[in-house]
Amino acid sequence: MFGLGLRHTHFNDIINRLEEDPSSLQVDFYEVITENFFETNGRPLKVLEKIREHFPISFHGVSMSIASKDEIDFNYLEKLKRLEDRIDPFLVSDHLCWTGLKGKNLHNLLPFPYTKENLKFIASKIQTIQEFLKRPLMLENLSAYIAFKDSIMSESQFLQELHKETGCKLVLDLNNLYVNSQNQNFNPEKWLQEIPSAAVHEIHLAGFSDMGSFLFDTHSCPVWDPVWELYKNNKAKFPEAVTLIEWDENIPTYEELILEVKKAKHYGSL
Amino acid sequence: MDLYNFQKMFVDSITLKNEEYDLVSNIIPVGRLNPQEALYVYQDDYKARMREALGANYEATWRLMGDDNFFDVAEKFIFSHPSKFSNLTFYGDLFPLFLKEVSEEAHQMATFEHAFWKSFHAMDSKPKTISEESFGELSFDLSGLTLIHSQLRLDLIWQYRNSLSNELQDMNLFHESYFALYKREEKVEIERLVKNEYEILMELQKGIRIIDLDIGEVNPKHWMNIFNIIQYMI
Repeated sequence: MFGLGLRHTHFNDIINRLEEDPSSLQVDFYEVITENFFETNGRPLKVLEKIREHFPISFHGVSMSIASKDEIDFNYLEKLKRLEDRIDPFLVSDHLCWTGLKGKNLHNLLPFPYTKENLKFIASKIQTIQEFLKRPLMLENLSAYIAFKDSIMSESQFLQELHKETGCKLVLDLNNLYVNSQNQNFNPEKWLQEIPSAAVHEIHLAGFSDMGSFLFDTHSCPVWDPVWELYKNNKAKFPEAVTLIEWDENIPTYEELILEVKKAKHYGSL
Repeated sequence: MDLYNFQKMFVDSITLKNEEYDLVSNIIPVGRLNPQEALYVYQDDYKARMREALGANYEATWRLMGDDNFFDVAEKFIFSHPSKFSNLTFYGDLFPLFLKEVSEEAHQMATFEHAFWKSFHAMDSKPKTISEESFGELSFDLSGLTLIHSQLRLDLIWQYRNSLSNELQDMNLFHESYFALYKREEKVEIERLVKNEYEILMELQKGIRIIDLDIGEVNPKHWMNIFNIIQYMI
């Protein structure tokens, strides 16, 4: 399956096409930023429900903050559960990161040291959340602009261990992986070899910006060629995985986004 | 360094702009950045992200204040009001209040915009039937109604907030105005009121019943306008 990140910029276009000819939307599913629908009873929720009548939906969160030293936020999880009951998503994911502490949300996906202590702590939180949601959680690898002297394993090893301990699934963001591999000077193919194939249920593709002294994960442009290369070379290793195109800044027309989806379909079938 | 101490230092380095030497000595920067520059990536991104959220929620206020003033005030707000929301869309709920110290007009414009988005995300409302006999006896929950009194045509600034042309500059925006914002069916209604309607709605919003209102004679047309609003809030 090949999907698109749903952004409000395209609401009108999508609703019009749903009424005229849903097949013109040319995707198999849409993914939403979960928190955008927590506190609304207005148009965004109605649009989502309308789309749900025609397409499967996946949830992708940005504020679960699983790696925060804070306690699990059950208020957040209640909201997630309520939305799940309403929309019935086929996937629910967030990121292997933290976003804030003590009620201060930095609204960024932040890295942390990959230590045994942190592995145990996060695995325990994942298990509690999975029991609450009654489904496996999916976690995405992130782009990071700092690493830690305290880390004793790589991100891929950490993800592998988390999967082993908790049964959580993975969202493999190939753009994040490529950005990190260039910034941190490692081989992304080797990183991918450490990821258990069956754990990956979704692949994300997006564009980054070259800032001169580092690559920045901005989701503001088409997927770059080296990221397509990674996708082409590795898609077959993850047969369970659906593919998603994300674009969050300088969002183009729906038609332009569909070109990216078509590319993914082409490379994904090679 | 344990996880809590790392995260506390990191948050403080972003939201309080603290120089955290222990943090800097524990991180490995990426690319060709040094440790401090790597932290700046996160600091700059935080500022840009929060400013963008404020800008999106308060477009008309931004237009009214101009880029320099808006960015200056936005930065002060961002560093004194860290987000407590899981969704960035709702960041800046206290921004209208914050602006009161800066400019009364900006405060009113921001209140207007905040009310618009609150109504936008509210449930649809259906009109209710009220008998003429019971109308005067009822008290109303008008929490979904925002009333604003301004010396400016806030509705025009709102309407032309994204206009690239000079239309707004050519308009006379200085006009004493009374506004009601609320959800009518599935749309956000922005209504201009006359002073009398505004004052009565202000009283009703306090929970005062119509029969207890201390008012003189009211034009029946104004009663009709008031009724047209509150029938969506019963």
